[in-house]
Amino acid sequence: MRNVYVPVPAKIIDIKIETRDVKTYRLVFEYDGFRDDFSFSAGQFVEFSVPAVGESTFCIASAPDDKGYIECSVKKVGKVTEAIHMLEVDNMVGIRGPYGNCFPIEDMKDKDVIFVGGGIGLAPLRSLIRQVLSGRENFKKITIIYGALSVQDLVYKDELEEWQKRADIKTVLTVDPGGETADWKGRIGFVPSVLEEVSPSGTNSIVITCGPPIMIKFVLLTLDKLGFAPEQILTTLEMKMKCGIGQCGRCNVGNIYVCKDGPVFTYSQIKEFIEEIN
Amino acid sequence: MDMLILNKHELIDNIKSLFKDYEIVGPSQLDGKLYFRPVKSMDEVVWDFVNPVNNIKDFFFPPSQVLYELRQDRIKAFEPDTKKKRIILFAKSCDTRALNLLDKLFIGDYKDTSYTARRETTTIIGLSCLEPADRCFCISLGGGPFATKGMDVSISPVRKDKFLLHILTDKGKDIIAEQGTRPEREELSLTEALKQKAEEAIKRKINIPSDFFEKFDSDYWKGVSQACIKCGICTYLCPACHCFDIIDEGYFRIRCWDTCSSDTFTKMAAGEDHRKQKYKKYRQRIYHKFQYYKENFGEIACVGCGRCTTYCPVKMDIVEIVNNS
Repeated sequence: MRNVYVPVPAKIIDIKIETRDVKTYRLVFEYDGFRDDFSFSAGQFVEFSVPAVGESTFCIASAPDDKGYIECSVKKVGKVTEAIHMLEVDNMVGIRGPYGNCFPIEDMKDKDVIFVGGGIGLAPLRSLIRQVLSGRENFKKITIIYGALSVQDLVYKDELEEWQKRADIKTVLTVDPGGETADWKGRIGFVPSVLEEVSPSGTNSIVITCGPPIMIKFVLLTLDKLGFAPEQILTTLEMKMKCGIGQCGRCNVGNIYVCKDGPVFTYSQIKEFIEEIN
Repeated sequence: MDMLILNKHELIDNIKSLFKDYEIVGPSQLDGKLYFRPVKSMDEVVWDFVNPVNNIKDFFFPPSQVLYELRQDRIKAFEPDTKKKRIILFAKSCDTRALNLLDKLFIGDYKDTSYTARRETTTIIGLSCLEPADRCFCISLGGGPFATKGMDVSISPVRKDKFLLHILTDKGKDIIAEQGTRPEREELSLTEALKQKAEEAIKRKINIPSDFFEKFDSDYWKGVSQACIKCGICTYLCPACHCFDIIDEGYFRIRCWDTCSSDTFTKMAAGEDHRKQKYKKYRQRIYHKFQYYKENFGEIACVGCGRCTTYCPVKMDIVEIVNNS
């Protein structure tokens, strides 16, 4: 029987600086067998270990089809993430997972798909967006609305540019008022307001949103106004986790363990406990 | 299921013979208090007692344990040393029942290897409670002073120096020698009478109000949690509480008990905490036990041992708090 807590060694092969406090790490598993067999679905997460520092939870930001490696985007906020930001290419880390449920991509087929992201909240969406775009023909209209505090805080800038160039998806970028630069060509305004302006149709559509709690709160209000039912809205919750397997008790809310029963939920599922976590 | 009648010295001789091959844990005095702890001889073991300070979960899910050593160039897992099997002596029915609750979690979708290994290599000899404590309330949670769930062998008194043994599992069979006599009807009825007397002695009852679930948002929880000093004693001494932390000490990754009353339990790295207020922390403990665990695993995660109330420095009483909610 394998000890579930023992991570698998992974080597950092690339580090991309996204913003002043976000870096994306590309990791390759050291064991050949594990490297080939590791598979996950968009929305799942891993426990990321730094020797002698600790372990933190990150969603997998690369796509399930990106074979041979995974990527995690890490925002520097605490002890472990600060240590991760000190790491260099060729350093070893530990990974265990993938854990949690995933986005129900089958349910999204033949529907309009709207992504609404804020800040580092684009990381889990990016995995799904990449997957959706690689099977573009299976989906109807695709809209990506993404915003951050400032231009400098937008993550995955190269990809944002690529998405903007594509005629088969609508990409709307925004920064909070005051966060714009002189040459900023996107919108200026908070994500929920921009969502209201873009005004996607609630008919035969599904929304996937992730971002800071305050953004989610107002995005939900806007979606309600636009006629989206709670079942049409998916989000992925961030919560303090240690074990990742529904045992340590930290992410328990109601009878749900966010790590095991989530992190992906429809708004109708979380409605009952959203008051408690907001 | 085999039943045997043994007199006290036969029983002691049987247990003494096990010290060679097993590590024996039993209720034993330390600094004037009773604990379940490893013992070297039967002289250290106490026979007449109500619940010791700690409970037997310590020997399956220890307060802290090294999970592995993690360095840049290697990862070395630590599994518990189970070469020498263990016997837990004179466990009470509340504690053994709690193990069944923990099994559902630790030997569930994800098997905890160390917990599972310890479970498999430990044999539990239970001892019925003749005189339950004032704070006990096991009956109202489906247990009882003579209950045997979670035991491999149960020992119940028949009369002074005479015991009825139930061999409940194969593990139990392995440690009890063929000896003694088959119980007579009279002996069984003597034990039954002691059982009834013990059950009658348990006056406390937990009655979960029918609208308990709806009370979640009530201000009631602010009032009753006012006295809480967030020390976590109730959770650490609870046989069913199982929340833990995973921390690094140098290159060692350690799993240790944690408590939902702690200020860091749900606080994220950037400082957000959806359960910052004390009443929310206390409410989580109560609902996790009496609502969520039942929804997820079919049983309430409280066995009525009363330790949380006995040892609470500010005298919070879980029975009163739940019953009045």
